[in-house]
Amino acid sequence: MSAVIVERMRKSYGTVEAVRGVSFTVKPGEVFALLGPNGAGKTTTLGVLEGYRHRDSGRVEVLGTDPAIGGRALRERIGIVLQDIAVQRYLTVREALTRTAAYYPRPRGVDEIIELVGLDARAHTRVRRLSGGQQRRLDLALAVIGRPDLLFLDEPTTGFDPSARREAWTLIRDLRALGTTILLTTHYMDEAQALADRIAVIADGELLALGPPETIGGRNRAESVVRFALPPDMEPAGLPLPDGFRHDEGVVTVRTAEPVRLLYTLTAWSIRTDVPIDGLTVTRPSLEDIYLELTGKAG
Amino acid sequence: MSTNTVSLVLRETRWEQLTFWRNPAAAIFTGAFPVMFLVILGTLNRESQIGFYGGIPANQYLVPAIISFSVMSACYTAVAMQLVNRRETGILKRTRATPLPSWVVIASQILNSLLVALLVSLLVGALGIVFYDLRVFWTRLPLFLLIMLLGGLSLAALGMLVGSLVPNADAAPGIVNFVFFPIVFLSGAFYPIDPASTVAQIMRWLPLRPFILSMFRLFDPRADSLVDAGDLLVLVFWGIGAAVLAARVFRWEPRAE
Repeated sequence: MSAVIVERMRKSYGTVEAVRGVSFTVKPGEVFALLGPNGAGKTTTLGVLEGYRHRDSGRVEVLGTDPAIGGRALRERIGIVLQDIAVQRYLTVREALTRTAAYYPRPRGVDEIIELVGLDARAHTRVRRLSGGQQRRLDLALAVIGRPDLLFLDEPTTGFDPSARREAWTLIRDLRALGTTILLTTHYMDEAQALADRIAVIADGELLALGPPETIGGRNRAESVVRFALPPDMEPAGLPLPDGFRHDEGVVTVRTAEPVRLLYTLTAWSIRTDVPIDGLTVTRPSLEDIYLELTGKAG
Repeated sequence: MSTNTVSLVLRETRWEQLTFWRNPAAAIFTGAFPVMFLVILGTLNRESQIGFYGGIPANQYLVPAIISFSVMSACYTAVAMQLVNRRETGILKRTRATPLPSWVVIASQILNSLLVALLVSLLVGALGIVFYDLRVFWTRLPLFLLIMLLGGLSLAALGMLVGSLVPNADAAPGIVNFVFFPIVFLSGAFYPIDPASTVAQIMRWLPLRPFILSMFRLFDPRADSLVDAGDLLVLVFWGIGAAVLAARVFRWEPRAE
């Protein structure tokens, strides 16, 4: 059974079609990322799954239930972290968690969660005295105190500094290790790559590609790029290169589906003629290249 | 209603109490203001009598009037401000994603306000007895509690309505107090208003004056009937109307920009 099923889901606000026929499923236990630029429809999609918004058409199931009518039974099994921090300011960390734990039938231990999010030292501090990053961690703690089967994270690290991001990533991996299925949105490619088992790229309300970070968008089959500095006093034509290379201010760029063969020919030529080839690199397209290509923003 | 949900409401109310009294703005506005008004007005009017009430001491009217004012602060103003605050900061939206039933959210908030109203009223009443020669008719206490409950609920419904109509956090103090202050002054919360005057005749149709008069009757040594059904009807009518409208315009989330 899938944790989340979305089939041809559509949602408009007035005349604006925010989500236009998106389909995907999330398997139990995986981290699934909705990756896309701002305004792509990620948050709207999440809002429908969380039960905040009603879809216009299509089929949606969350843990086997339609979120539009899921009610309390469904809310006992999901955890939600919204984009903005929203925690009662005058309670302490411990009080806020104790209060929320009472809403759920089989909550996690308050101390266990405080430790999990690394707020041990701040357990008796009132929320309003916490730093922004600490409030975020408490927000996450509140979302998982009820032992959810499925966790929704809407842009969990937007606005974080690099070390806070690493901490958040570790936390998300820890939760995954505890068996929580996680559906997150992000506009950071490295975040999707670092965390997700599978990624759905969406832009303008449409799903453009779906798959594991290694193969999404045909990334594993895409051409590699071989680059090197043109040896002095030489023309590219004098080198054993296939058609379609580019020469730009002394740098030669070749796209090839067979990088091994090209490198073999090139290096053999270099040794035979004793002409060195400097700055030789081979790169596979990054997730970023694929993403930019998919979302139509390639330079 | 199972014991489980009852205990959930009570537990939530306890948390509401905790957050309420820890919030300095709420505690001062709701708790300290009525005491301040009591001290100022009670001291100023210590020797005064009210002619149109048969010459009774002014404080015999002012203390119950200030008690009514405390109930309005706790139930109307605090409920409206809290509603706006929680909606605009996303706390309501967040709470809605938990299994906590919506009605428990509302019920515990109103129960909290009633408790605050009761505590502040008892404080004002006690100070009135000790410092301002307030005469108390103890047999009327059950009626006092009942009218406070009726008034508190009606005013809380109004708070919910006004809080729901406020478009955003910036507009809240202005709108909430724009409704609050004129009614407080014109209803006679801080000085007695001649019942025969035009102002009094008009204000009788708004919720606060009927509430003040119903409270005052319980402290009026000359009262032959303790309850004016007309006053209570006006109060309850406003409460029910506000509750019905509030249920229609209530929002869990800030208005989209």
